[in-house]
Amino acid sequence: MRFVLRRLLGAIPSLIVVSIFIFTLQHLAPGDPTYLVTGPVVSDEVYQRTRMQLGLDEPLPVQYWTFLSNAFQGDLGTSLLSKRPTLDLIVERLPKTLAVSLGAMALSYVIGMTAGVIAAIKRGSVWDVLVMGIATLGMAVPGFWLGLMLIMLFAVRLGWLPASGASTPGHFILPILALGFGEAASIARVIRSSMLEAMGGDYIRTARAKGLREQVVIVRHALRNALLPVTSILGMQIGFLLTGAVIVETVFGFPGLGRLLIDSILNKDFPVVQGVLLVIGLMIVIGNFFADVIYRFVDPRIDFS
Amino acid sequence: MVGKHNANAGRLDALQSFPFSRRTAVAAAAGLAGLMVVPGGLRVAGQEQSTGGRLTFGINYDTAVFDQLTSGTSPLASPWVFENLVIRGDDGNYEPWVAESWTTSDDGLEITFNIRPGITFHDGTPVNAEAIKWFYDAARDPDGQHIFSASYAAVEDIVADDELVVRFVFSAPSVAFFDTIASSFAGIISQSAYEGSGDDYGISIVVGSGPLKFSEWTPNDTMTLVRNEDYNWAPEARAQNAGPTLIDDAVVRMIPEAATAIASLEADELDVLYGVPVQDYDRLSNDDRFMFKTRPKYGGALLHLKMNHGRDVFSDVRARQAFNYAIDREGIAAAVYKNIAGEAAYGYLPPHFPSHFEGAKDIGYAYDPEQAKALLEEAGFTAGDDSARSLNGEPVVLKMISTNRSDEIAVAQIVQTNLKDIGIELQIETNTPSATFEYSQSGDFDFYLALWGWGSPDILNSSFVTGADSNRSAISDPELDTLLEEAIGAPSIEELNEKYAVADKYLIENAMWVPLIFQTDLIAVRNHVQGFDFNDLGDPTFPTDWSVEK
Repeated sequence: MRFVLRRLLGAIPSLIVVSIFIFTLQHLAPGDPTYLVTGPVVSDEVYQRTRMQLGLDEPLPVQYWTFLSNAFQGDLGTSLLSKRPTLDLIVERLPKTLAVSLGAMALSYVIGMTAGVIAAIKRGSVWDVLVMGIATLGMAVPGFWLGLMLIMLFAVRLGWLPASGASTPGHFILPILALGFGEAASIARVIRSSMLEAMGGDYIRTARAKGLREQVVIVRHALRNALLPVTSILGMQIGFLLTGAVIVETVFGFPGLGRLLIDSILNKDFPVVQGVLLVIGLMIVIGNFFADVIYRFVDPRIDFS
Repeated sequence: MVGKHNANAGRLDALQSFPFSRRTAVAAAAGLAGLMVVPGGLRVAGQEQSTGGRLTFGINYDTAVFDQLTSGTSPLASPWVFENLVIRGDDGNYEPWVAESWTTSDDGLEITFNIRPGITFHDGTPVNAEAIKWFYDAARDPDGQHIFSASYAAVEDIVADDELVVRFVFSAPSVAFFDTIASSFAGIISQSAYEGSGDDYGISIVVGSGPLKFSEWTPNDTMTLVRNEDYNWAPEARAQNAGPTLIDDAVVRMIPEAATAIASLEADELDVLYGVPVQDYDRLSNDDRFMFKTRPKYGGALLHLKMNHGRDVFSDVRARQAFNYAIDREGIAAAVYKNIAGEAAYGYLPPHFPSHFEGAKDIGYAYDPEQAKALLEEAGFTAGDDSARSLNGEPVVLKMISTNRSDEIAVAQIVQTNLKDIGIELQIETNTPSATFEYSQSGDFDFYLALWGWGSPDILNSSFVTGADSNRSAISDPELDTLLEEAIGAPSIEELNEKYAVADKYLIENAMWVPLIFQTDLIAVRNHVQGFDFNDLGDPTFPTDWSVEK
């Protein structure tokens, strides 16, 4: 419990730093969000009045304090474009993005670990070369290109899956594949390296000498130790998946949090940009927290105290 | 562009084969009401001729909120869900829709509309004079958020004289008023729905009186519209089927990525796709599954180079003319738009506008770099040994701002090359559309590669009149101001068109800007879609005439 509280309290300064960074960058970028409310053709009087109503005439530190204090109360502001509460917009789209991101994470671990273990066991064989070749390709190929290729193959050529949208479970498959493939590739490489290191250990030789079946040696002894490096990058992967969702959602016309972020940035919809990035930051913090907890269970030597 | 919209094939045979006009048929059927229940008898409306089915449309932009009284209106769905007092006919004249007739006072200061009886909003409330008065009072409120409230500036008062009679009172005659009330931003909303829905209006509740009813919407994803079963009052000037729609419903899908949209079309997920990139045209037009329709983009889109008249380099008309001669419009139209998605523009008003100047190409500036160089020399732009130009001893290095749209980047690069050929160095700054718009307001540019799109010539007033809100070029020309103010205040459509043609000619002769390309929207349509087309003005056929062949 003390560990949990300590981590959660420690997340607050991180989120504050993130929010300052987001807020400052937005206001440094060109573009005036006032026109989002007034339209491009507006008298000076209406323009100034609208800036006052939106609080944009206040000094930046005052604007930031207003945003931060409201955020702590659960008020992320109102979209300048749609006039709807930012939190409502986020809540509408978050489940879809989470579904794609978590689905991609699950896929990446299942495929990545399986491929990495096979490559390690069959080291030097054609399987090893094949797996590592595909893994290298997976890490090099941009997600948006992969997404378009998956659409061409599975939607246009084969007609097995839909090309765009998010109205059925089938719509989630290609975005999950596009997002998860790159992460699966990096997991495969990490697992292969750590498996090779683990399988060279004395305890593995002892296990074999005791007469244990090879499957038991690999899964119960080698793999368990090889999981540690993979678990340590889990927190980073959460960040990659959430940011990768921005690109994938645009390619697939997927109405998730990533699309909302892109549209809001392009339209200078400040409250929504700040709100979405803050929520993404919070999810990364929470994800890292869970990664640390999982790491403790994988490695009993870790003492949270 | 295909010609006038095609007759809806097959579904109205009984009515079309009848030897009288539809009006006469209506009158005859009313007098022989007993035949209405006889199978195979006359049909006033298409209630028993529905083919069913769904039409799915793809677009690459959406509105944040579907609310005419703010800045949001769905680009496709508005004219299907909402109705206007009048509608533009195939010949450009305004025809009855919600208003079945109107009269204008002798002094032009009052227009009285007679509302068609029996029209109801989708929530069952009547479309009457009070409803219309409420909507237009809200739209013209200068303290409201309607993006085009200024368009109603000449309206002094709106009076509901009777249940179905509404009168507009003007401070000055306003022929352009009909353009305003016919636009997609002037579709009439149900007052009871608007006031009773609070923040839900425009998101989960949208109520008009049109042939399609709003059903549900995920912003930036999918909007579903369903048949209005009570609808039977489609405008005669634009619809052959009075209603209801022959299709069951329509879905509008917003797909921002062009490649994904094309893939969705090819994967049979879309029936109609707007904004097909020109580079995909050849491949798709050779595909037997699709046909192509075209229309003027945004009603009349002109890609142009604004010149900042506040800068010395543009103060001499010969210099401005030189820049016009220097740029190869025909080359841009061929290279970037393949002469399909755009044509070279020599004037400022598109050719389908009755108000455009017919001799634009004759007096416009055909590509002639040698003539451009000669004019620059006359205007004092001397060429050094390296051919680079100087003005008053200072090297001429110009800045162009542009958005980061792919076609505009390509155009900017061609312009840069063209200007280099006459010794002018051009630096290009690209940015997002909103940021580029900001830069334009600061006046920190020499050229601004911009796109405007509007369905009527009064766009010239907002861009060229001294001090006008959209006059980014710092143009101040009293003679031009007079021409444009006389045009917008013309007492008749004919005189308005004549005066705007004079203004168009003046703009060309004085090389105020460099008009480049009139853009065309490419729309791919699946062959099983019937009755969907555009007229010469770019207006689509009416939803009651669309059908899906099974």
